[in-house]
Amino acid sequence: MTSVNAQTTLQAPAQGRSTGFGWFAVLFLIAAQVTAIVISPPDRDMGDLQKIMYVHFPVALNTFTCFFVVLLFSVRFLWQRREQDDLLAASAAEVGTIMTGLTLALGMLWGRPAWGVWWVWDPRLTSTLVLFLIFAGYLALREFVEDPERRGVWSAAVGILGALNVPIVYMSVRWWRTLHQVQSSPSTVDPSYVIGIRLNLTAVLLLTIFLIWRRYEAALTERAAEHVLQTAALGGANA
Amino acid sequence: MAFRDEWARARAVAWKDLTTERRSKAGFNSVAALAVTILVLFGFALGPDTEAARAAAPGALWLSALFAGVLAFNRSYQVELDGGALEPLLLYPGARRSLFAGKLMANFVFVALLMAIVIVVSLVLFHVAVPAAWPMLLLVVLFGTIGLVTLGTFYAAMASRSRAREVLLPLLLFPMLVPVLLAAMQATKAILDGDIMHEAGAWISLLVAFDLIFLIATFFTFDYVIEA
Amino acid sequence: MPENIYFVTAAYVATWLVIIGYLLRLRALMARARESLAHANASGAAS
Repeated sequence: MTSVNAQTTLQAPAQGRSTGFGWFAVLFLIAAQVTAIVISPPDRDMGDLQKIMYVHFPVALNTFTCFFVVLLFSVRFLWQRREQDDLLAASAAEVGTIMTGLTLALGMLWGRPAWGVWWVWDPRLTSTLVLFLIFAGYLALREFVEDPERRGVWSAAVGILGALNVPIVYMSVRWWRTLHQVQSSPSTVDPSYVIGIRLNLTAVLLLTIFLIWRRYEAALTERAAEHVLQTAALGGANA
Repeated sequence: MAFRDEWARARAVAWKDLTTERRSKAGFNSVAALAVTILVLFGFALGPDTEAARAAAPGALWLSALFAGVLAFNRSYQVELDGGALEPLLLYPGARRSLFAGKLMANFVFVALLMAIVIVVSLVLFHVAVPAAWPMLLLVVLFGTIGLVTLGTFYAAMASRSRAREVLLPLLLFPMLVPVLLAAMQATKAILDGDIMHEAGAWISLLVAFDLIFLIATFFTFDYVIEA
Repeated sequence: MPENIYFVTAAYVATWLVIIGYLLRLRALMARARESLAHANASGAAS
């Protein structure tokens, strides 16, 4: 049986190492948003509505960053059984789930004025919703399992299968739609908006990295405390 | 050689599960009764309109099989967990995947029988005529059930051993089953409508592809999951 | 469509509410984790 090595105690991260980076990410995002809003003229078809895209698109795209991290570190956890990998995957899953929820909300705020309805069964929208539900399940699983090793292995399995399922869900929903109804027209990004979009993509990516990092630090500190207690209990028994 | 050993082990596990199920009987009967009840409730939700009922039949059929089948997946580990028999079972030599394959086969038989009942009842309740292409419908049921059972058996291996398993299994399983259910429902719908658009074949091949992907993925990860 | 501006505003407000809300949650998590670590270290040293 392979198991998480109980001897290696987790080291709590040094205090405040990510704070500077966090400030930078937040200020960069504000700057990127202001720049994008100021430099972009109102869209020909969509008017000011186009400006939602500067948050919606970067947030939506960066959910994939999160779930890619989940996939990567879940596989590595099953392979090498380092507890840090599990904590990192879980942090990315939490941030990713929140960002998926935000993506859905922003998509609705776009859809109501653009299409006249809050929701359409569009492949991208629908697969985003399914993705959200899959990773809500992932987070629930972690809540319901106490043993750290079991929690790590199980959530890694759920994370890997969930990430695998994303393209499959997208494909099946697209088939389902195209066979029966006309697909909703995708919002094309005008070349003049590319700078604003790219700037915001970078900003949201930085923020995503920061949030995952911070969540990971918190998880690591929490587990480090549990390790200390465990070692103290074991040491007491030996002495 | 090694494969034949594994196959024999898988069969033994399946046989053991099915024997337990057959001896108790209460399990299957109550799950089947629940499936029929869900179908009746779908009928009430749809109202007395014959056309609406006919259009909704494929969805109602698969969903009632799903809702009732979920109970079977947790049960398939529950008997062993209650008897403390899972640990000894894991001590037997050989790969864990033969245990998974065995559970899979037992659950497949269970859900396939359930499907047979559900299909007959929904044909009657929702005024659906037996389609000319009924062998194709059997194919859809076959591959749809495989997909259902593969993911169900896999996630139950975790959910049944956690707190709050009643909630956790559907929460994990249902979103994952979206592609399988979608393909199965659409294929069923196409066949029941006479397959004018010739799309049932495409949905069935999609279903087969999903089954293969999920079978491979679950067989790879089951070893880790069951040992943790 | 002039009412579009409400949707745009709502989108940016929602985004920042989520960001700030999550940052606050992270801060609370971090504080709690540090506290339990300090507690664990203290009791570990005592034994």
